[in-house]
Amino acid sequence: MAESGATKQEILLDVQNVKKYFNLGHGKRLHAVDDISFQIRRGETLGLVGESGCGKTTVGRTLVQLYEADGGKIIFQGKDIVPMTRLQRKKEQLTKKMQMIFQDPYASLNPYFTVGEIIGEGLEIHKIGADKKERLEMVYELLDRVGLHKEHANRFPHEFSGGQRQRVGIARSLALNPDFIVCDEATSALDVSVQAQVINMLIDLREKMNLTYLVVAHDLSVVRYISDRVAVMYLGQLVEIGAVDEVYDHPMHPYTIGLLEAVPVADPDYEKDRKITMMKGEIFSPVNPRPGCRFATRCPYAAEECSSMTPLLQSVGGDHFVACHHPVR
Amino acid sequence: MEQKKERLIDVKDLEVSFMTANGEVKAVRGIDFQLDKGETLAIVGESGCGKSVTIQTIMRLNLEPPAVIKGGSITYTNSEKNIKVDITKLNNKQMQAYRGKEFSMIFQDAMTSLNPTSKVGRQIVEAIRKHTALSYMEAKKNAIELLGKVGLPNPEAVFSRYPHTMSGGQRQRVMIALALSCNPSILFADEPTTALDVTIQSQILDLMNTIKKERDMGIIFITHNLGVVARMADRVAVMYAGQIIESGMLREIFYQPKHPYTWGLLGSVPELKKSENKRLLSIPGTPPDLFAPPKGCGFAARCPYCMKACLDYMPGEYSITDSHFARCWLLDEECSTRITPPVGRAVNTGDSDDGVFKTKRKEN
Ligand SMILES: Nc1ncnc2c1ncn2[C@@H]1O[C@H](COP(=O)(O)OP(=O)(O)OP(=O)(O)O)[C@@H](O)[C@H]1O
Ligand SMILES: Nc1ncnc2c1ncn2[C@@H]1O[C@H](COP(=O)(O)OP(=O)(O)OP(=O)(O)O)[C@@H](O)[C@H]1O
Ligand code: SF4
Ligand SMILES: [Mg+2]
Ligand SMILES: [Mg+2]
Repeated sequence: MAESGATKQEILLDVQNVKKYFNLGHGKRLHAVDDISFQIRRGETLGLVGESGCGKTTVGRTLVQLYEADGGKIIFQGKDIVPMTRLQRKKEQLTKKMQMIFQDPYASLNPYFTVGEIIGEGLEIHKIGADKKERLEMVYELLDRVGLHKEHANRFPHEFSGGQRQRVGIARSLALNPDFIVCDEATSALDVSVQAQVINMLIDLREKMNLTYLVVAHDLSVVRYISDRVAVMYLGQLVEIGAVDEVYDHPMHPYTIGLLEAVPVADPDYEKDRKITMMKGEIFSPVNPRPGCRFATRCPYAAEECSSMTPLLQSVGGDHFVACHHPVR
Repeated sequence: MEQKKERLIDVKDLEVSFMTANGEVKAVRGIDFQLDKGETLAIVGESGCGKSVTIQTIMRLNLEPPAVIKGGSITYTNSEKNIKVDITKLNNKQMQAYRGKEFSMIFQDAMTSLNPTSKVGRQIVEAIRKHTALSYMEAKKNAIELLGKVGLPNPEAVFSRYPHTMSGGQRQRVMIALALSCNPSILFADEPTTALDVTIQSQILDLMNTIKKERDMGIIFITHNLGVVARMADRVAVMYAGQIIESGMLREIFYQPKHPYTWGLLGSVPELKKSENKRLLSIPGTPPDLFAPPKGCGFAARCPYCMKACLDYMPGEYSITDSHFARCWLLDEECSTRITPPVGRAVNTGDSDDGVFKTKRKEN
């Protein structure tokens, strides 16, 4: 890509203490993302997992500026984008460089546009390519990239299967040659065999185009497969982050442990022998939260200080961070 | 093989079509399967392969045109109540006596079976009173007991709550309580946990297993999730394009799969336990059009091992054991091609590790 001398170590995105609140009226504020910090290096894939409603999508949308952060810094390629105006963001070409792929391939494609028009729209808006003809060539190349054919350019989204539509969505997000892509449940609506095609393709594209991903998914197996590092969220906060093998093989936050234990594994002998401890208890409300660990109400290890003091992310060795007063070793 | 387990359902050569404006959709094309007491049968397969239509046909939920049962039989037996009946011969009115009482169903979205304008307790009481002679107070007592049984805290309070005031997992429990209220002998579950978080899913699966054991119930479970299959099923039926292309006991399907589609299915699931940099297997292409299903093997167009016979003739059911069969020409004794199944996850051959699924078939 354009940046020369980029190494794996270069930090592409530095997220510092980012907050996103939703006002629910009557003085109620939902802390959807509450003081989150992490970094993503260029060429790396960070997985983001956690229960429904914990704020994963909100993190993704805030990073690509579909939401305005309510606090904190998002330093992208060295510049904090939070205080920027729309014009500045446009000048920095942020809408080109940062893209998002959504879960529902159908709802996110305009049914009245042909696939060629959908993919070419961004090229036209950003005036990329000399003329219509050149842009069409670029669309063909993008279709080829995602394993579709030239002829598909004249068809409409409803003529495609779910997996093909997801490819169209991916081609559209690749059109502007982005550096960073948020994949929000990009494969969860697909059949497993089709999901495998799309995952393999995302991995190939990452290598070919030197992309950096934030992959948001419910499916912990998919995240393990595709990510280098993984971040685990619970009610708006990060509870654990580290290299993917490290976190999956040696989880230390009680929530991560419970989450991993709950995943059914497609191996009957393994399932037969394993013991599953169910997570019980009420889920803490993210509306006007009180201090303390948000997992304390369900945590089997909760002690006195857990319900009064908020645990901070701390290294438990190298790149592995856990926010817990009593990490499980 | 199976010792004196009582058979609940015996499906023979069932064919179901939809008569649409554009022609006949052959949704279920001649399937056979059985379900015994205390057993869970999982039905898996690609979207649109006929899983839901199959169980809706047993419940006779898609009774009205355009759905038509073109052939076959569904024999339901309940020896305690002295019932033995071919479901396909019943009319809607006769079927009322079975739905809810003998068979019940839970869905992906609890709101499909719950009435949003009525308190959950009331809905359960109504269901109980419809099929029994219990008084309101007796039915209420049963309902509260059931709500407690499915793990809802403070069942008396839950009794008078409306469905929309509850979380997804709680509603799913209410739906299970409702489904169990008349002590059915078979529970049908169509993706009951797909919309839930893994932690809640785990609780619901555990609940279903406990209840199955307690009541010696039969369960037919539809899911896309092979992990859920591994946790729940005793037996598995793999469907493709309206047919059961492989069926067997749980371990037979996961560790000795015989059909190329099953290989592809198992190989396309990423593993949770270890991250390997092996490419996921994937199955290129899409399933055939059920308006005009192919005359040969339904999987032929996507099968890497497809031979000439596959295109022209429908493969029959080849038995591997008493409980395991697959529909694939590769299993014919006259077939000269010998395939080592590609190593998916648990497929136990241990050789080849390079996504063999895509390579040309081996000859020997
Ligand atoms: N626009 C909004 N207005 C008000 N509340 C919102 C809005 N968007 C999200 N929320 C709330 O913020 C919290 C986080 O939502 P978010 O969609 O980020 O969760 P998620 O982790 O992506 O969940 P899922 O796995 O279900 O997609 C939830 O409690 C949600 O109800
Ligand atoms: N009411 C209907 N009219 C016409 N065709 C129908 C109807 N219902 C289902 N079909 C067709 O019957 C076939 C089988 O559908 P079915 O709902 O059983 O699939 P499924 O295996 O449950 O898929 P999924 O995993 O997506 O739920 C599909 O090709 C579908 O398009
Ligand atoms: S019958 Fe032929 S086409 Fe069908 S699965 Fe077997 S080898 Fe493949
Ligand atoms: Mg989300
Ligand atoms: Mg279905």
